[in-house]
Amino acid sequence: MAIVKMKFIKATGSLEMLDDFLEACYSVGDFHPENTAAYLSPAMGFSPLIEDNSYAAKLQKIEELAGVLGVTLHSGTITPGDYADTDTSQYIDEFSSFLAEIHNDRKLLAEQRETSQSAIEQFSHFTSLDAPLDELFAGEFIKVRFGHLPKENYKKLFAYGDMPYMLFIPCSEDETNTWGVYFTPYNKSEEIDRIFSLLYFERLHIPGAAGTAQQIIENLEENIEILNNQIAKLDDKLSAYWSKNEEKIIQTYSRLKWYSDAFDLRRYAAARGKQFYYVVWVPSKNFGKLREKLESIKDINCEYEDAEKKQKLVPVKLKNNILFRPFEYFVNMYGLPAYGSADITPFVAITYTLIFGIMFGDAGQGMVLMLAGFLMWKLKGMPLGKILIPCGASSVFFGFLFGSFFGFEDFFDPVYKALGFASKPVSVMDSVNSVLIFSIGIGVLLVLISMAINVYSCIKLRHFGEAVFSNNGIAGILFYTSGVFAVLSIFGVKNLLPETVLITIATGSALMLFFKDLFIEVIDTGHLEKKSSVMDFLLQNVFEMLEYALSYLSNTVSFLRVGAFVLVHAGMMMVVFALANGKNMVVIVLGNILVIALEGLLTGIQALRLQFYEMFSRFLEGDGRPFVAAGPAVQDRKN
Amino acid sequence: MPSYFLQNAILAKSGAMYGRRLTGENYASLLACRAIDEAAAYLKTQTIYGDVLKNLSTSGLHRGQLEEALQKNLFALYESLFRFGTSTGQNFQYYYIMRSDIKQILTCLHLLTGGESGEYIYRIPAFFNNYTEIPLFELAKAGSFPEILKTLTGTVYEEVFSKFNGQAMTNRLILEIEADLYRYFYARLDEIIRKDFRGKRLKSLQRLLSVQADIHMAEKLYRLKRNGCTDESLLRRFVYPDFTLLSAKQINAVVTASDSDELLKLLGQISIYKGLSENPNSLPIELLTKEIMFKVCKKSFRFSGEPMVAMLSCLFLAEIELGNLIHIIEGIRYGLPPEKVQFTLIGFSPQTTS
Repeated sequence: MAIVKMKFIKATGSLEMLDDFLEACYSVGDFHPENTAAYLSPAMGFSPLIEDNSYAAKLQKIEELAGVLGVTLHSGTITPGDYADTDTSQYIDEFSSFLAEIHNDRKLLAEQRETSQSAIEQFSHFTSLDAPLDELFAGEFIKVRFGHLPKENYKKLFAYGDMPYMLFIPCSEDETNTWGVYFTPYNKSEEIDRIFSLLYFERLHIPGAAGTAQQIIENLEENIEILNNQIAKLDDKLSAYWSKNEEKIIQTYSRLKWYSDAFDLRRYAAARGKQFYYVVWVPSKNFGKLREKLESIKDINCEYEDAEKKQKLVPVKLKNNILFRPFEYFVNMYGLPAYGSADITPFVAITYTLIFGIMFGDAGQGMVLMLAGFLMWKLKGMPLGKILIPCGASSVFFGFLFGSFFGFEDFFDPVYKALGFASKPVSVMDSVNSVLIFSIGIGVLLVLISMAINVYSCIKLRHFGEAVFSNNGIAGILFYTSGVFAVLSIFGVKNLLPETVLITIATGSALMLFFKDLFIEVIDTGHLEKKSSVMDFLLQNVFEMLEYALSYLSNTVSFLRVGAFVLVHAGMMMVVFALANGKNMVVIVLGNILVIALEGLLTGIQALRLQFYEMFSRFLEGDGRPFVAAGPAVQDRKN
Repeated sequence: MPSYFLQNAILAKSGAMYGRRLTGENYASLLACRAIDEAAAYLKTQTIYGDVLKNLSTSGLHRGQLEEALQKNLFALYESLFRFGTSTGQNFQYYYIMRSDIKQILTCLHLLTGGESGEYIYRIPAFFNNYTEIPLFELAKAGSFPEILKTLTGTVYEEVFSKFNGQAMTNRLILEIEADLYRYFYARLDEIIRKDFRGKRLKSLQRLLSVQADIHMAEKLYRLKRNGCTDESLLRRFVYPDFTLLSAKQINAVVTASDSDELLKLLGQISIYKGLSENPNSLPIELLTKEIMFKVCKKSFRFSGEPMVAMLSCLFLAEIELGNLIHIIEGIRYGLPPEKVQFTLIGFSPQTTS
């Protein structure tokens, strides 16, 4: 549960050794390459390395050939051995020439089949025409036109009933068109064609064939069957080839893919003549092994630096156990912590789960959430699914405490009695004030913890001034705590500390906050900047003090929503049961579904809001750079 | 008069129709199309006209097919709205059918006098046969006035036509027939609305329909005066006393106006027709009148609150939109630059969004 420590490596060497360098980096695990040109002064003469990826073309070719086979290639893990470019090229060429012939034949057959199908579709409109088409087209003095016109315009043809130069025979109809054929003397064809054109007759140029339309269709269908058989034979040939060569093809593809992806990493390098320059970040745990490998490569010089010297530039990689890892999603959403500061993922995991559980508080509905989260994760791979599982579990726990099981408030009564309780431990609707006060208490605690995390982070980053004097530092903690005690005493709660001590702490911490800018400047930067005027300084800090006080108050009061949602949830289930008269299971089930969906969404959002606004804002800048691991995983050669 | 609930339904449906009109963005995209297919494909995929064009193949589409499909859609729209009005709705639907009938009769007459009676068959919107009582295909076969009269026997137009039986087919005759057909139409319309509406509702309906009648009158008088017609008796036939916003004095003035420009100047003195006297782009009178109708309908829809007025306003706006689409389609067909076509679009400027 920490931010992974990093090492910074600068490598320079002969361009021919760049692949070896990258292979060494791959072999030890993740690494984060940087845009090297940005790390070098332009005066050094290095420029970004721009090359064409020689593997990309072969990769594309092999993917196309796989397409012909009708398979989708997936690359597996490989052992990068000696990549023999000529062997691979030769293999791909053999593969290609074998497939090319079959592919061309298949393509030809498929085209013929398509043509036949298209012809069938055209002829199918004219099956009612019981005359051989070849004889119709053979006419010397009569023109024949096949086609279709809108049904409504077909009716207009009746207006030409007495026209002797036109004969239209309707053959079929669909939803909007009438299909048919018209005949006209060749010397009147222009006039008649014009009439039909004005009626939106769309002419169809059907392929020439012997026999009636029905006979032609039958012949075409026979032809299609023959073509299908021939295509099937070719497909069998292809399948046999694939079965025999599957392993080798996949291996070749995987290697090509690996080298192609690895080649892409070369673009991070800077080059000058035949020399390259490359910078990477590597997790410290892999550093030793990598150093050993790099030192065995000839013509490469490496320099190593600790990440601490480059604080702001260091990429951040979080490392958490299986319980906390899902909550990295929220931390990434807000922004990663800076390198060297605290990893707040465990804090998020615990607080979010607890707050969610309290606000949702129903055992049965919590189980549904757990199941939903599990399914979201397993079936859809959604990161929220993994978060929903512990949240659901927390809801089950608090549901048990509140005595609620799908809204049935007395479900757990026998269990409580068996455990020796008179009734449920917490009766939400009977202790509204207590619930709300408890929420404020949670708020106070979490705000204090947030400020404590900030102090810890500042100390880690050696910002001692911030740790002590900032509004989220020790001064802030003291001021806030004294405020809390003051409020408690107003409500009649006896204070642990004497009043004078409290007033002293409050005044002292207020003064520390008032002059915090001065103290932080002196301690953290070592010098004091000149201020524009004393009056401005005083006025500004008065307003800032007011702002701090208000922010403490608003952040704390914001936690009332925790209690509010407990009550809302209970209230909503009461309404469901009121509508169901306590008996109607359909209403109860539907009501539960609605409450789970609505409350689940609202609770999730509100809990996240509390995290981001009330807690994160106190200690997290979110300006960490993410660690982006380069390239595919690779097997170690020795394994 | 529709019941309270039906009135609300009419208002809601009209509102939905109003909201689905083409936007400035749609018009701009259509103006940018360079082929009928492209415009049809755009209408099919990006606008409310997708349903009506779904069975139309956009490749090799004839512009007449597209226009007919859009007109058919408009009639379907009339039907869907008037369904709510029950008996009132049926009567109003009849008003639209009668208007279309008159247009068909006049088209046939004009083609007949022009010696192109054979062309009428192509002009018939085939779907309209389902609505009209006129046997349109029989009308298409008519080659003379008596044949037309014979076709119209048994219809409500027989009475109007029979007055002119035996007279020579001249342009003057056509004008007189047109004037009488529209007089009959407006008289019938007056009957329809007086039957079902009273008081304020009647007044607001009359106002909207008066604007329509007035702009029709303005177009006819303008064209007649432009062509040098000074026959007062003919000009007066195009005035519809039941539906006009003009006073008797104003009517006299416009009828006796010395020329078309004076006519527009006189009409422009009435605030609602101000646009007629202001024509910086020298647009044809038909576009100016439609622009007025557009503004009146938009205002009526937004501020009236009277369901039938809202419905009629929406329908008039739908007709204007159809007119715009036809202008765009014809602009594409004849290769006109978009800048020229956009001047003919009512209610559209490059900055218009609704």
